[in-house]
Amino acid sequence: MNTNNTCDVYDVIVVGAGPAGLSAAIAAANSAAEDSKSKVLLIERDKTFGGILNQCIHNGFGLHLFKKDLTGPEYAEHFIKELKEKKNITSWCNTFVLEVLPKKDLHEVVCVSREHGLCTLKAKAIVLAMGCRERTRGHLALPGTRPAGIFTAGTAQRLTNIEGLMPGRRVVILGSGDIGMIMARRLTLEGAKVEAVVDRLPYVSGLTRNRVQCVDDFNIPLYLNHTVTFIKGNKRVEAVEIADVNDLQNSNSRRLIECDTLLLSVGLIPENELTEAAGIAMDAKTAGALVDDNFQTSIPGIFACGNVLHVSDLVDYVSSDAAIAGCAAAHFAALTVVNKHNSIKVTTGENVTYSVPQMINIPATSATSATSATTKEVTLSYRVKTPLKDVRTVITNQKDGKIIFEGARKKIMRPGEMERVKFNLNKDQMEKIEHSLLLEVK
Amino acid sequence: MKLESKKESKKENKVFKVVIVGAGVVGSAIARELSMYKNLEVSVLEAEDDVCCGTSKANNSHIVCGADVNANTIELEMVKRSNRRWEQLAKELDIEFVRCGSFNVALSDDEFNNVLPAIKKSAEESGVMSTRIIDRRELLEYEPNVSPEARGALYIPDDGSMLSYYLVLALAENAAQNGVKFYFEKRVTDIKYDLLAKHKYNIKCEDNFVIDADFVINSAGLYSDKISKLAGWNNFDIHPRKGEFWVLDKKYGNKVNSIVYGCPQPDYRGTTVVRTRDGNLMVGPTARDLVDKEDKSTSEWGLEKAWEAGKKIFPWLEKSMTIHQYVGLRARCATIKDYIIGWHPDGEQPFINAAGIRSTGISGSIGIGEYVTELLAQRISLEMNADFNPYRKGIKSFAKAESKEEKEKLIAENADYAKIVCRCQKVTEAEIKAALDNPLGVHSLDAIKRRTKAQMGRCQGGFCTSRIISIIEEKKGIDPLTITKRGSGSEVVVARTKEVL
Repeated sequence: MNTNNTCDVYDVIVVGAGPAGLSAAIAAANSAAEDSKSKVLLIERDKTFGGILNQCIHNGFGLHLFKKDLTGPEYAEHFIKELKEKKNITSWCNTFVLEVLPKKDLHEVVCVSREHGLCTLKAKAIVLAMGCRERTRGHLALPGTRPAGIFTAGTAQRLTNIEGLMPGRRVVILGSGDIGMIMARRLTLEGAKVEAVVDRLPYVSGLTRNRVQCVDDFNIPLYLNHTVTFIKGNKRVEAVEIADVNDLQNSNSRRLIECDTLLLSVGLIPENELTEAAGIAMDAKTAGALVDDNFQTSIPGIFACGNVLHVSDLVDYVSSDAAIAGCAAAHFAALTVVNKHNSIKVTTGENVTYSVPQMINIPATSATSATSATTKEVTLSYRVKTPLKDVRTVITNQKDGKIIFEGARKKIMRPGEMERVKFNLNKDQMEKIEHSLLLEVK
Repeated sequence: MKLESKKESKKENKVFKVVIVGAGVVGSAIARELSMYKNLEVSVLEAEDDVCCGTSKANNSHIVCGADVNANTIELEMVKRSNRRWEQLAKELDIEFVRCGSFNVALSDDEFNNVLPAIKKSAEESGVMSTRIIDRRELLEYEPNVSPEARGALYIPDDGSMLSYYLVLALAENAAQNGVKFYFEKRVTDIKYDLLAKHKYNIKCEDNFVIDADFVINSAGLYSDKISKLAGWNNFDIHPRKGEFWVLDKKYGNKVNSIVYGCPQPDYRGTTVVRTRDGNLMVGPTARDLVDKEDKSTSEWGLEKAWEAGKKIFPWLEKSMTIHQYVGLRARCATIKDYIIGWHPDGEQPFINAAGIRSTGISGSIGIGEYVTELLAQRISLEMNADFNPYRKGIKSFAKAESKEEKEKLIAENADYAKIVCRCQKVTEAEIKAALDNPLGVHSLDAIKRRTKAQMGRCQGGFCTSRIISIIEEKKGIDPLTITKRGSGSEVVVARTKEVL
């Protein structure tokens, strides 16, 4: 890994060195191994690589990818070690990307850092891996006062785990997202009293394992079908009012919980300001870019992966998808002529919120791809709208209604847990699908 | 702040010629105006930890020219006096002021044919002759995204926009540079008047802080009735009138160009959609009369009401565009429907009220400063201070630097401009540090927010709060446990880890 070199044109610039960016940069460098001139630049705004993994000191990372139960920093370390061994990756931390400018031949990235000042860099391909940010009280328009003691769960996690500062002593957590539940356990272990975890849904929004290990095991009261309706306190939070969401008009259903802190774990928003400003086509359902199965966006040569694309529950999947994106970006950079291909859309039907990728590339015509593989492996990541029992995933050709893939029956699918299917499209199917595949869970 | 106030309270009594109570826009404008004169020791006592902590920060940044202010009022006189000075003042204080104009949009033929002419007539009665009724076609040239229902509007070209907290900070900082002393977290609890004493007033604050003064000026906003009563002037009460606002993501800032109201409601100007000088849109306020002066809570009811009114003018508004909601409490007197400015009615006490400053307070502030100075000149001879420096430099913003060259220049002058701390608003470490060097010596998170806009963006400080705490700790040598959101009692964190166990 280099830290200082600048060069005229990079093959691939990766924006963000969280789990997605690290994996993408390494994959890009690996797939260009034979051509030692190929250069990858990884840009990170924080002072260290690893992104949010660094503050996730709990375990549960790497079960799929490494078959190990790692903490966040340990998981990141796997990649950072590899990053450091790569001669053809330059990595800059403390560098903030201000703009991604798509250009006809070479794309540009405008960034700023103490070390390099304000600079405009050129790249053949760009991988966007900016991650996501937390929804705030303002997004919920949560009524009440605006005292100290209101934090998003991730901010509280950073204060606790990185800065060594306790955000509060008596805590109510709104939202049963993963970070919220993990912070319920973390703050309990630090001696705080978590008075309640509250979620407006009838089920927890995060992983079941987090509900068991972080909430139930610590006897933390969980109020499902409830929400915070009012925040009290002038200088510091004094109490929050919670109410049954099915009985909001009934003032008897409202009750006060005294506390000095309110944590919000009410969802994550992919951080796509750079993407949108670059004019890349977006998917309203994921709040991320529309991508094909190489994670290429609507602008050739610009790729997106990780939570900036759609919010994942497990980092392992982020890493493996990002590796595909990084590899594809390196291939794109090496191309002299852009391969022509057709693409088929993936549409979501019954019970499915969204699916990524939204497009699958297939060779333009069978004649020109005589040498290419006769089947194509496709992986789709998706979420269901509500918890479903005894269901399976079905993928059909929307044109003729023929079933292409049918998953095994699952006892339960939950919105909090991302589903993934892998299936093959054979040559015959690829020719027959004209426009789109339909993904359903029933 | 706590430590400082303890140290100070041990010292002997402080003596000032003039003590101003309250450091909102009115107190700060008066302080700056008085700082132009020689041998006039002036101090300002503020209950909160910074200037501009109350009504002055929580409004819609609309600078009115007087079109909607009642004729024959002190309020109108103050607004008009201010109106003459905005351009010059903006230059002196390095703040942005734009006469973007405002609109009262008519959404029906009835409003267009009956209401608009009535407001125009009333504006003319108040001496504002520049308003025009414009049709839909012309309105679209100014505001192309206005509702398809919009029939036309009353255009008030002399209205303007300025970030109110930037104005107050600039006025106070400039006053401080010219010798005015600001004291924070000094809530006045008692004012003793003694005609025969060397200094006629002895003012007590919480924390046993005591100060003597020859003249007292009351600009305590919501609490100006309480302060006035301490001086025996008790014929009015201030009742807060709550206004709730929504703030939208900057992304949508270019959908509105100016200040757009619906038609006025009986007794208040109505809800407006505004683009601030910072590029955010704001929707609000509502108007609800309260008793509790501290009730700065948003409500489902109020927010919904403001939103509906905004959506009538701009139907494309979506709640998903919003990033924040807040409340402003207008310091309004229900019985005297005008500003209350003047000498104590007993004809003797050297006490001036600048109270009952209603929703037009920002727009009237500069005039009030001027007028109060004239009042003071009736009893003491004021002599211009040749050393008065009217110029104050704001913090240069990296995000607002328009060209690459300008940005590079900032970085060349100070490498901290190359370190972004607030990702949403692109505020750099240089700006945070400059804010910490402010002449008023304040350093709470909200103080940094108002000076730099860090924490004001779409993640609302989720990313930068812990980083700003580190910068404050490093630069000021302050224990992070004592860093507050806005003064004592609002400490951001409660302990170090392992201390609670």
